[in-house]
Amino acid sequence: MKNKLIIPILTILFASSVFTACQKGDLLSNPNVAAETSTVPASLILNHITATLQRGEDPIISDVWKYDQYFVSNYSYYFGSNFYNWSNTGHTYDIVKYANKMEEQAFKQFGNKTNVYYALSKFFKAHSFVWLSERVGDIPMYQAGDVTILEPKYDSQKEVFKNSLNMLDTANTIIGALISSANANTKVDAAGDIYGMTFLQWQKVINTYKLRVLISLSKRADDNADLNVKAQFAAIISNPTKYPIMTANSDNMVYTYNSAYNQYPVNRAGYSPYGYAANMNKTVLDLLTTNKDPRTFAFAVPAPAQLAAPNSKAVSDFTAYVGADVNVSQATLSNNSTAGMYSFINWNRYFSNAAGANCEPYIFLGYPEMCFNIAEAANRGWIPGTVAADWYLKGINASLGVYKLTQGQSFVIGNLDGTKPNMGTATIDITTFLAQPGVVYAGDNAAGLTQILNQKYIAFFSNSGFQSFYNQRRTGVPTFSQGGAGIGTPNNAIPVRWLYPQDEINFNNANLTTALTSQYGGSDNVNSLMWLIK
Amino acid sequence: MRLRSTISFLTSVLIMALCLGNMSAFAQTQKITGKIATKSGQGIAGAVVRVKENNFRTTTDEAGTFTVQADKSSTLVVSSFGFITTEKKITGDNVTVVLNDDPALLTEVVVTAYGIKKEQKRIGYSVSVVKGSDVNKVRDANPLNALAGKVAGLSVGANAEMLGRPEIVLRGSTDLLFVVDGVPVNTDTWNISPDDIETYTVLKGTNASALYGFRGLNGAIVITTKRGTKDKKGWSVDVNSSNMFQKGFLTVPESQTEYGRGKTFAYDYGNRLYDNAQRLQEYGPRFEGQLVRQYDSPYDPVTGIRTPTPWTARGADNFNKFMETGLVSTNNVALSASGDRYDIRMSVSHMYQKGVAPNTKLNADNFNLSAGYNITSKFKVEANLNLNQQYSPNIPDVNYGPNSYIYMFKVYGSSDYDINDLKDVYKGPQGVPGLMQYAQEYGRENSAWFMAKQWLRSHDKTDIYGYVKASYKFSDALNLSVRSQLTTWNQARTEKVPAGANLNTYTPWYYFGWYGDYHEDKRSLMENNTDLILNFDKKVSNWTISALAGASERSFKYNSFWGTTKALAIPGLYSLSNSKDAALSYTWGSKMQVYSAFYSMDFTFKNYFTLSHTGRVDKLSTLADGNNAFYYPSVSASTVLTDYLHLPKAVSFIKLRASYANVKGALTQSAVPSAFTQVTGKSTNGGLLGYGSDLYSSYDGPSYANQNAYAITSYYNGTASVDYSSTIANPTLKPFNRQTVEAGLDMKFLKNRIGFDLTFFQSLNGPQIYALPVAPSTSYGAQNVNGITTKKQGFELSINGSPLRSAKGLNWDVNFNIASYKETLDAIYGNEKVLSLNSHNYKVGDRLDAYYGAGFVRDGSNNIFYSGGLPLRAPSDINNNTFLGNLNPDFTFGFGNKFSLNNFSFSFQFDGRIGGKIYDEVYKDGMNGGTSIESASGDFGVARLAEWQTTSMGTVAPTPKYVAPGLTITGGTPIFSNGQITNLKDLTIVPNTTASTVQNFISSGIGNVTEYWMVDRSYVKLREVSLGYTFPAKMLGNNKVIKSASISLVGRNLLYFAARKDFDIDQFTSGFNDANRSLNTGGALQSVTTRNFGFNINLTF
Repeated sequence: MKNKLIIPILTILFASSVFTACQKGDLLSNPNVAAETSTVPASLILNHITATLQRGEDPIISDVWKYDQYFVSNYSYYFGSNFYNWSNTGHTYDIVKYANKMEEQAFKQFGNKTNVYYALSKFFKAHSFVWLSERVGDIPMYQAGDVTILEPKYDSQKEVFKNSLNMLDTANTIIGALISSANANTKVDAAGDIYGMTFLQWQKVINTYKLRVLISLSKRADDNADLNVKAQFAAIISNPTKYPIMTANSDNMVYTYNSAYNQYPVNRAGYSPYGYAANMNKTVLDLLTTNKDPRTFAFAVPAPAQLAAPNSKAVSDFTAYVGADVNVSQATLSNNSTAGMYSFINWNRYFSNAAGANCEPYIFLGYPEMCFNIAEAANRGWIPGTVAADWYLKGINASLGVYKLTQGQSFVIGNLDGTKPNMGTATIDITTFLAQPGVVYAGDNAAGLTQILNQKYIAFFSNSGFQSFYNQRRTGVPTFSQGGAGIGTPNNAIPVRWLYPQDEINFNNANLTTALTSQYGGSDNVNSLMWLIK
Repeated sequence: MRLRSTISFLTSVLIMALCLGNMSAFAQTQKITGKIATKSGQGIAGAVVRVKENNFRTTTDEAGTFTVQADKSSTLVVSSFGFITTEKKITGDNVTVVLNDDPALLTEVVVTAYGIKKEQKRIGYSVSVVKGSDVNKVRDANPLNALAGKVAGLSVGANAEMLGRPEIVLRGSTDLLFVVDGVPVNTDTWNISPDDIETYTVLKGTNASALYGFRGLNGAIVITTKRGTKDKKGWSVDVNSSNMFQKGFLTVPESQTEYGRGKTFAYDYGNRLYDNAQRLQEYGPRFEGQLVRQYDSPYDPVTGIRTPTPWTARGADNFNKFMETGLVSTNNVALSASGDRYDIRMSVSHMYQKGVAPNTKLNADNFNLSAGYNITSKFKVEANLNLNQQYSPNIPDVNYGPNSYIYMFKVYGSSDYDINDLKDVYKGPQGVPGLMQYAQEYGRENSAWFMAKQWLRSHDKTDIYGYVKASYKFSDALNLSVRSQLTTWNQARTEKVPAGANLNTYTPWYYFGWYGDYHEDKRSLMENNTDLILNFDKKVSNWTISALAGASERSFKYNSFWGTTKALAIPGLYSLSNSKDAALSYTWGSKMQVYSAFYSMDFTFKNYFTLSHTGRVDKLSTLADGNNAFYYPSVSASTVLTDYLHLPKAVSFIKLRASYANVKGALTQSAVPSAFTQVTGKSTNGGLLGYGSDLYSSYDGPSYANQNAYAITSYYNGTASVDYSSTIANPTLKPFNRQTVEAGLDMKFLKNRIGFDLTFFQSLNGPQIYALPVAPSTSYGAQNVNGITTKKQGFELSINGSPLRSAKGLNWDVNFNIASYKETLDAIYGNEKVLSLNSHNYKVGDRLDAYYGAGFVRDGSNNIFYSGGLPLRAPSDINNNTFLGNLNPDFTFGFGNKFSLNNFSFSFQFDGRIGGKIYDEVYKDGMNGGTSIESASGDFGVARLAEWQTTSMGTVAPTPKYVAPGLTITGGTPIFSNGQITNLKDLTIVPNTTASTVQNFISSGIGNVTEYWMVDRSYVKLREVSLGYTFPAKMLGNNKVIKSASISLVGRNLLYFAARKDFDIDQFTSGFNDANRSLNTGGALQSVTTRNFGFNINLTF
């Protein structure tokens, strides 16, 4: 019996040793990623934040530029519909999460909470809260971004703005303490910061952004003394040492495109062969052509029918530039466009190069806007001693600079799809433009304010995301076209806010309901006015 | 027992009555006793024993013993249900006759988990068996496609793509476990040679596969391979050759050939060499022979002037001219031999497939070796090895983009050029050898011939599985076996994008005139399962006990690589190092270990009932300590009423069965995409290249879905960046849970001439491991919870009948199967009221395959509202999505018939799925592109022609002529709810009179209304037809070399019945997939499918 068993036992041992490879060690953890306890350079998180700060809907020729009434789509398949049928908003809480993680890693790496990553973190968080609050109203802030609180309480919009302004102040203080003459002009983090800005430029961005936030509170500047809107604005203007702000376009916070990785949005999205499907909107084009604004030539090409017989106009003739009214049904827009009735977006400039080499880069936060914000504050009497007209002119000239337009420049005009890149030239005449009665500053009155706001609106062309829309929502300037079938909402009116994110509705319902009750009588409605613009 | 005696008595009486007419006088006889037994020596009760010479009959008692009066040299004829009738000459006073199982009654013994054979009548759950020989004649390239329609509840969606994996759905679940000879294998479904398969056993649902643990959660397909058989001369050789031709389209989108390339009825190639700046639809001018500048119009390279040529539909038949006849040829030679102590079988197969798209082919070599050797009468060793090698220089890719023939011909397929003109792919003046193709246009498309000859996607895979097993039989009751198995594969795929290929804006680093691109995808998987099993079989008084206890270890390893150049530096050199900008590469790997212990016990009390119980403990490396070891059980019971009840003669067999099973598991995934996708979370198409399909390989390894971690990535200009988990990990996560109950009824009547098998099942799938969304203000997207339970209920019915049965005349066997199920939401999580999934908030009780999306706005009487001539749109939030139908079919069915007359046999099978809705992507894309026949026929055709007539031959803008029949609102503000107007009475409503062009109505109107493109998911296919002839022995004559020979003429996928025949619905098997909670809406482009014809030759030597 013993002998008989030997063979089977040996065989069994053999068989079981053939393939069996018992794997030892930690098999639970994913070997392809770094565990949450790892030390990850703060720089890599900064890279994530700066690279994703611009939201998907922000870039030029995306939906926001239709909402801003810069262009219209005449063919849904390529540029979508023109409908303002907004629903649940996107959000920026991911930035809050990464800002928290960046603080955590920066503390691990540097052992203090006064390094530049903390300063930038405060800015990113303030920016995120304001970004979302501008879209919906009250939002969770103090309890947001804490993994242990799955149902964060809502904070009032006023509190969100107040706290965000405080965070911007803290950011300015931290970064201000780090700046010396030696490092002011060195980059904060060449690998992490995709904007490639210096210590001083970041500090300017923080304060320039703060001016934007303060001016956006114009409707609440008088009835909320605790917010100190005017005083805070004045404090920045009056103390450039403590609060440096942008001084030229070179300080702009600019997202630069490149051909192989981050293409200019119209090319990235595959729109470049479809220039014919996007017309210039009447709202912006009328403002431009009325004042013989040379930016007309930068943004648009003439309506083909205006160039053809019997009109036979020259490409430099401002009346050859005709915008399309977004009120009209898309089917009609398409027919009219095919018939050559409308101007198109300047193909040579915006569609022809994958890196956007022929046009301006995307300005996330820019000097022209700041000039107009100061001009607006001056016009409103917030900053006695500052001359609105000066900043108004600085803003216009800075904007012309962004679009690289100079007096006397010979500007080549192409056609809608690049097949005729040179249809003639127009001469850039800034002097004539600035002398137009509609442009010459009318003084610190309502007319002057409208001029400032109109020029700010034009300067927002192709940059700064929803700011153009928010300024219009706050001030009513310029007048947006609405009431027709092309708007696509039940009453064909432009909405003034978004619905809360669907997952806030589903998973933070009790807190959201409280916020809706205190703000909008309990209903989440795109036509309700939020505190900010009431 | 009394009952048994009664039945024996009755049987005897019956037999005596039957034999009355044959009674004759007995010769001088003596008393002979004996026993009728099974191969394993068990006595067979109730067997009929007849003395051939005097027709004396008796039946055996419970122990299988009998007594007859007979001459000493008489012959006994023994028969019993389920066994082969056997004759034996009497050689003494006492005779033992061993009866062999009747293979014709294949339902009798089935292979269950761990390869354990069980008597069908003792099993308490649903099992279906398909014989390899039944599905081997009417071949498909993929072996598993042959199972389509054969098994109630099993749907096999043959993939329309070459080397595509069929979507296999059992009771609504995908991700089945594949088991070959008792051990799980990792399979792409191509690494199995159908000629080596004895049987396919489908273990349905959780109950059957409880012993395999969570891998068998959705059921298992258990394949038993052929083994060396005993033959008089000790060996045999089988040759099988199957050749199928693929010719004639079963499903193909129809194209209009009236209008050509262009937009708004205008087209001009222009005075230029390449027209790459324009990307056009097929909404161009009507073909009327007018002069138009075209790609092949005479071109003066000096002046750049193109001389216009007549505009005609010269390529109306382009698609048919381009596609070729496909071929699937499979040849197999198998040698098997056996002796007293050994059995061995060797099999070599070669499969060759030539695709219907030019220059596509696939080869697969398969080598299978199995051997067993009895070292002693108690000790046996067995081994099996299967080696499969697939290689293809080029397989086509299909999706929406310029790399796809369907896109080229059926979405943007103008008839303005002749495809044969493009055969010389570098013809001048446009073509430059090695650098630039000669194509019909350069903005959107590629020359199909250029793609076929230059744009190549290779595939190489080596796939091995096998095992070594040793078993020792301590006694008849006790058997110990140890088995170690290996399943491993290695795969490499490459894609060579030639210089001059047009990718327009799909790929970020593409530029017109580039030198091409190169991608490489390498994956390897290795898995070992080693198990030790102790078997116990014994009869203890009235109980038959069959039990096993075992332990197993599963060890898993996977590695993958994906890389791409960023445009080639040197054209024609396809290597990752030949990259213009720095090449991108990604690696991803995983490891897993599972330890298990399990047991199974079957108790059979006499022949009254069988009770079974299994249990299993798993310890997984994918869960945190404390929650990573867990137990789950199953129980089942069965009873065969006809074994002990006196029932009318017509009733041959009735069995009742019921079972319950519980399965647990955690954090594995069944399939794995490329390393790029695993690392970045984006598909290679959507996240990087902009074209191409992301390949999913069979995986069954860890998902790592419950960890907070940083992953490396890049967002900007190639700089390094990180992503942090967006799902909150749950350190106390428990395994998921699934409980299934099942009850069934098996009945056979009229001596088994007709039978029914009916099964009802209900499974509670959950609490699952679910990434439940959280409020975005947490800054996370989801948290892992044990939540969400769905309930699936359904039935399966098989009916088998033999309306005609005659030894010399016509035989007719028919089988019909039908199955249906519904899956609803049973519980969510905590206090949650809705489950937000697939653009809808589902409530408890809702069907999860209910599909919601953009619909038309209607009045109460089904009239559609329009605004500005286009469909009126409801607000876009989730609550205004409308119900567009349920995606799952109402039921699936198969209907097979087999006739035989002498040496001829004829069979055919219809099968299909009835009910449900599906999104017809090729219809929508073809309409948007202006190619689809419907864009130029009916009302659209009338309007399109009228519009053309207003354009002065395409020189001025068309006047819109299409007025959609419906309503429009001229006063009042509509209020919307669920996508419909709730205040119709407050509105001023008039008929729509606004015209739009056909192109605008489609692309800017109904193109945005999902509802328009939802079509009926029902289809029926004439799946297979076979006419066979078996050569009679005498025809093979004295030539003893060939023992048997048969030939069959076969056809596959011959007819297709569906509301629309532009795509093959068959491949979209699942509607809602409970494994990943996704909806399979169709919604993708796919290849056309073909009819297959051929022949099969089978020889045995």
